[in-house]
Amino acid sequence: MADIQFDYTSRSKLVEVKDLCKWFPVKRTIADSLLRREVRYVKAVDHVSLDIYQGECLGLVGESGCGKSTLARTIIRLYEPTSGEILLEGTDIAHMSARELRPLRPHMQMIFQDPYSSLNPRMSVRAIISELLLYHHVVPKDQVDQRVEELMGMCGLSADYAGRYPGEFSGGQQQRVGIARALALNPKFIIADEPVSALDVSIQAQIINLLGDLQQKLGLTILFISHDLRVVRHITHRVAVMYLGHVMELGPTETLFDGPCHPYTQVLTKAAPEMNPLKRTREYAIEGETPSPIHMPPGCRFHPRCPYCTDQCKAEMPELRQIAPSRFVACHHPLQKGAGV
Amino acid sequence: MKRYYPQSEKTRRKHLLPAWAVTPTFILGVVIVVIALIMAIFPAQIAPYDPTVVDITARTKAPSAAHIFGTDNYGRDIFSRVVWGTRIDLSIGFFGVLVPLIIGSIIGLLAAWYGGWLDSLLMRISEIMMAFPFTILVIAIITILGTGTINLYIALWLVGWMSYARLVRAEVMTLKKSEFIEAARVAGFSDARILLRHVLPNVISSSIVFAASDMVMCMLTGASMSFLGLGVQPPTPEWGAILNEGRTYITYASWMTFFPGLVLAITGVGLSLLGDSMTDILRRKGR
Amino acid sequence: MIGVAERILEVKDLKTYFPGRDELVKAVDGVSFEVYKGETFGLVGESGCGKSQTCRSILGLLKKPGRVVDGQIILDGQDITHLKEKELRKLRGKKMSVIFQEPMTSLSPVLKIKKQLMEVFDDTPMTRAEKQQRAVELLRMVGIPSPELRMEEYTFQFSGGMRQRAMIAMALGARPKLLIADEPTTALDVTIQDQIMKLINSLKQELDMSIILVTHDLGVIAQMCDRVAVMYSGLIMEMCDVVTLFASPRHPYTYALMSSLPDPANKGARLNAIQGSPPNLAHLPEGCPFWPRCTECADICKRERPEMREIAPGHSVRCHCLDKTAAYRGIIEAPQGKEA
Repeated sequence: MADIQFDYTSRSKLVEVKDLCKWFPVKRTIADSLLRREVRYVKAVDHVSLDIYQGECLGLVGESGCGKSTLARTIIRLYEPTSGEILLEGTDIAHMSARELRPLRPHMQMIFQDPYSSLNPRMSVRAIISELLLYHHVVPKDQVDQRVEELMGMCGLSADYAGRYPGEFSGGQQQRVGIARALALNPKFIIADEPVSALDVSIQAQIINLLGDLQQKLGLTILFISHDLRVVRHITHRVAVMYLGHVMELGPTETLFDGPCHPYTQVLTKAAPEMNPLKRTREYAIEGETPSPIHMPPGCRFHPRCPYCTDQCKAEMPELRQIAPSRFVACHHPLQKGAGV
Repeated sequence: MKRYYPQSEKTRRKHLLPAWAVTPTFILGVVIVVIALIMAIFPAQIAPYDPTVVDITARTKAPSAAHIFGTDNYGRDIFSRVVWGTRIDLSIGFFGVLVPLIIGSIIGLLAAWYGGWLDSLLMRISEIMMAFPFTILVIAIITILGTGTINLYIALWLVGWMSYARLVRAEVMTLKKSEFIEAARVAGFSDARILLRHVLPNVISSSIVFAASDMVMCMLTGASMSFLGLGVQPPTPEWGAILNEGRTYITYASWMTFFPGLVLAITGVGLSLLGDSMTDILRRKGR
Repeated sequence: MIGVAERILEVKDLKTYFPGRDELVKAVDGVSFEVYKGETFGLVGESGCGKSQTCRSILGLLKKPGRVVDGQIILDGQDITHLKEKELRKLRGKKMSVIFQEPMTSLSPVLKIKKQLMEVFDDTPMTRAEKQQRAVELLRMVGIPSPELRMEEYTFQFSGGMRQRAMIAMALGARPKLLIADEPTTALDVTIQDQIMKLINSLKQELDMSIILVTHDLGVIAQMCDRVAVMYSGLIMEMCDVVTLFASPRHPYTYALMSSLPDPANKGARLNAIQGSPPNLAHLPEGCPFWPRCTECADICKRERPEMREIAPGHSVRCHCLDKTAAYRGIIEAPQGKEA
């Protein structure tokens, strides 16, 4: 994760998300059916396009309800997308059946937010990991135990703990087990969904270090979802900012945080509390709250809260467009046109 | 506050029965149930007489050293009949619950997992059936099928599965969204594997707890049906049937009903106590 | 300023234990601090460090089987350590009030916001119309738009941020002298957290109250607090004003917490993680509870629990190795004329 200068031209695309939508129908009441009201949708992910390059760590940030978790779960095909394409090394997996997907599953794995509930409480660590190894025939049967211990060692867990159950571990150790499980199938692509936000501050750094080390050692491609900008800034190469199901801005981490082009990105960076008691601000970073995804505002999703809103913003939805090399923004009036990019 | 302290869970799984679980309630329940089980398994060794042999010379004898519970109007030894009856009544309790537990759990599991019309159909059926009192429903089914032991079982099974299906369904619905199930799906496991290895072991404990208390209910329903002449038929020694036979003599040979009734009550209490303790243990252990 | 300021709350050697079946959990094990009029006092620490239990002890809202086994709590000159629930209830709301992390669990789902707000004035001789008028004012004060309409709604119709605002309105209805805020922004998004933090800050000035702020987030501490106590395993490890804490921490735990944070100037580098995990409160190590994870650990740390020592006016530290920690530098520059 260390190199800031991440060269995209020489890298191939591992995952390509093209115009992906995941809409959840809103549950209809009897009155709705009787009155023949239109079926309404929660557009959790709405026409999202993203490329994830080989070996990069792409951050996905946004507030709760912005669709970042749904996007991740759709990419990894826990959900069937409503429309769009998901190319994993050129193969479209968007509408594959469970059977077709099975041989591809080992390539993409996931690390979850809540370390306790992401482990089956009735299986020992050994059982959890070896089940994967055996099911996908990753290693010959007689080497399974050895591989389990190797994976645990890689994630900083003593092999003596193999017989223990998830409930016997602390939160940080549980997350290490979760990471070991994700690595068991030698994946190319890992989605880490808020992997540190349920952990204590003193443990977060351990897990971030572990993820960084593993990425370097194994050449992993990671989609790192978080609402903690400080962590994202530290670990990712590029960042995508989501708001109400749309990607608002996408670009290299440093330049994006230093010179946000989208007003929403600017708001996010301003709202995060500064670790300095001598720098206190009095104004809100932004007024108001995220609207409900059922009643989406027309035009730009962000316009009701945007300080720079114009009539064009209220009527027309801006497309995600390139404004500088590797910098994309979905705004009619980007804050700095090419400056600082 | 965070939801749990990892450290305090270290005691989990260490012992089958932690010291705190051994309460007087638990011990009393175990003692009663074990005695009942011994009677059910070795009736021939315990009962001094054949339960069905008629002895005209010893009709309606009050309790004595030879017949500790007395004899009935055919001169049969009531103690022996009660001992042999244990096997039948415990069987009704056990199998009357086991089959619904299995069928109901499978139905609940599938309904919750696949959802859709299957779920709606099963839940509507069970809601309709739940609207009738348990006993009335059993009587209705037996009336249609005819009396007899087999039909009693069928009636209990037909009525019993719903509670288990609903219990398991509710548990699966919450578990379905948990992250370790998502992890299993990301791993590409087949539905069968996820359901059997990951879902079932985590949802079954509440059903087992319910089954423990349901056994009492089932046993008593079996006895009631036999008492009404709808279940096990005389001369087979079943507690409800014995009570029914003794009913007409209750004013001058009360031992014919008193002792079988007492045994039935004690067994019921024993099973309830054990069920309650098990509920406690599973609730405290299974986090 | 601290010397002359009036104390609103004094906690002396508070011990709150949770006796378990076969172990004793020492959630709070000898905590002493004061809160002065008009200040925001921060309690920062990781989960299980006893910060929430300290607050619950003060409020008399300990969950069973926890109880205060030793120490004294003096609120506005009155010893409230062993007050009966009935007497405490009179104090809650008027003298001290609380907001919790998850407002949904503290608000009633079946009552209208209006009704819940008006209950705050139940003890005061006011007419219904007056109460309603006050409720509207409260909602307006916490920045809820069109309060006359919103107060007719139920909690589930409110968003997370609005609920927290309503909760604050209720807590402040009777103008308490002390507000205890237990992780008030943890469940909220950053933009909403920012709004709530600033709202609490401005209300504090307006109502001239003191605040105890419990959080695990050093950023929230930096933005809101005047003085801070860092807690670990039921003990206060370091206590000082907020600038000193960030500029020149002296306890290895405080220092380790700060240096484990990602530093924008050092992107991608390995973080200085604290090794191991917090100890089990039922089986604390001998000596200083932090020694198994401490980089400065000496022999004496394993044997003796260090006492709280005042190393500068208003700066106390619980550590044996103060000579070693003198070289620590915080994450901000100390302002001129203010050295620890």
